[in-house]
Amino acid sequence: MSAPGWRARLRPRLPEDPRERHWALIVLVALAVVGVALAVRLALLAPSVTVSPAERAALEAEIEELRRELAARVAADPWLASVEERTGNVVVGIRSGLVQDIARWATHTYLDDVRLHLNPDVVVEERQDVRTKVGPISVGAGHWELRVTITRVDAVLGAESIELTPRDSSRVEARIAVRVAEASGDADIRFTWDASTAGSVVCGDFEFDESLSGVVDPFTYEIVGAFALESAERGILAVPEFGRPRLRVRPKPTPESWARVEEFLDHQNNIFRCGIALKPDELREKLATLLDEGFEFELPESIFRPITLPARISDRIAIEGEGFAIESVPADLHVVPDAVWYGATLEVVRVGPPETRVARAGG
Amino acid sequence: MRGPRDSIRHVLIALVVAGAAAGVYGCRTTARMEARHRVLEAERDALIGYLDAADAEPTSGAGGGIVPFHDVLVVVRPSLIDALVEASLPLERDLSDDIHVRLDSASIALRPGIAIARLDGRVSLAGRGDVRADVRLLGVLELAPRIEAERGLVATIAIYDVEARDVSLGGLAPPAERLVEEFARFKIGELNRSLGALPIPVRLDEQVSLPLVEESELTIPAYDLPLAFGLGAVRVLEDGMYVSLSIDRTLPGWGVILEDR
Repeated sequence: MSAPGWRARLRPRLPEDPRERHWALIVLVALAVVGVALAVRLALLAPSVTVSPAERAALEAEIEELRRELAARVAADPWLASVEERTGNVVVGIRSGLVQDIARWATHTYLDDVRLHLNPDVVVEERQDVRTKVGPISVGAGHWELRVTITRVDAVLGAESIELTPRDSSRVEARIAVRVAEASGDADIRFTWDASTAGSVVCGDFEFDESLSGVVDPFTYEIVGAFALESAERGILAVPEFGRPRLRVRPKPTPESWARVEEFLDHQNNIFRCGIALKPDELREKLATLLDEGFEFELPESIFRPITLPARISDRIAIEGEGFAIESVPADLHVVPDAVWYGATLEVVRVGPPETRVARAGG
Repeated sequence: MRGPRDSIRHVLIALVVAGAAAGVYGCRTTARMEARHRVLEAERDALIGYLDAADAEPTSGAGGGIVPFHDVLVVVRPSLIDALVEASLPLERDLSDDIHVRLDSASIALRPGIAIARLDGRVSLAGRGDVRADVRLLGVLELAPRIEAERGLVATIAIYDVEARDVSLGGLAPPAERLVEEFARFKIGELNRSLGALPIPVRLDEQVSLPLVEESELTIPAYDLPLAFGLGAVRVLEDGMYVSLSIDRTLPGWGVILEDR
């Protein structure tokens, strides 16, 4: 058995030689003194680092009291209760003020220094049947048609002001004053006279084409839409709902273009005298009226793009140098007047086989 | 037969052993009590801080109340924290003086004011597999944004105490209890410095972006709205850790927003 040997080794024995015994006693006494002194030092000389049971109990009681007070305040706070109701193991709240600020910025940006190069091929036209008297009878002489095709519009858009109003629980209405500036365009004018079978009475068929360049006086236009707040896989999306806003432009022919049209019409004066009931001046006036009524064209949808609000769920993280995929299942989208809340249930999924991460901490 | 000399010997030996034990135990107990007391003090201070802040600005749902909500509020529930801590395990560290630590399991307990981490594992002497001890490390978990590097929130665990759970002695050579002692007194700091941060999978974006559009009929330049997050407040309640963040609206790009308001 090992016990006797173990005990024998530990059995206190002093050397037999008186000198050795003397030194052994001195060493033992010194060790004892050091040990006791150490204990005394801890007990008496360093009171600042020693915590008495009473102090500890007092501290714990104080904490308990504070906890009770905190719990009472938490229970009495309806806002906090509403936050606690949000589902998901991670919840992100964004205050309405920030959502509106970002929507405001986005709206400005959608319509700031936007350069449009449209080929709308918008057509406006006016048509009239002409009748003439042959003796006592009124017969159809034919019809004329004035057709203007807008072939090109270039414009620079800018947002002058934006008004955002929370419309319902998940939408922010936006009214944007859009400034249309530096606009110019081209149009094709086509005038046709289609004589009827009674053409022998009046002039025969004819037509003329002319191109027109114009400018558009700067104007301000209101666009009304909204941002819908939607839950996306990893965050909150503000989706613009502006459709394809229509802008009406009223081109004014450049003086050069207008002079060219007038010159052409003057040269065709003999034609206008042949009974089509339209004089060159009247044609000019009709053309001016058509242009003044303007043309509507749609803004491209791509102007308005969804925005992901900040604080999104990551798709990957690295822990101790190892990659993990974050699988996210949206759990909650809750929009209230003061905030939008997004909750998701996340799962941390190891990408590769499990690793044991050993590292040398160093000294 | 035992004589007076034997009695003297026994008294002297007992004195030595008692003195040394008192010294060592005193050191150990004091250090542990100090650490735990500091944690309790931190808990108390946090609770006082919560209540004082709520007194100063009582409006909840805004910048005040028990849980302030500046611009963005991230709530991390205990189950996600557990999952992230679990993902970091098993974790091993070789500390200086050939002490090896392996952590195999962990749990986080949220109390108002503080999050206590308990990590179970083993401390052993490198090259001496027979000198080892199963231990429980006690720590405090903290959550904070780390904007510059990760653009996200990270959790860090600071160990403050060690408990031996199952001590195994390797013969007569340095006993595992002493190993734990050594670890507790001198190596916790080293271990804390070596522990990496746990990323919370919520990304704090650097900017909101609208990309360049170049289509046949449309040209829109690219735009970015810079986002600089600042820490507003951190609150630990039983149902989660709440981090309130504010946005710096003095950065370029925000002028147009402020003008329009």
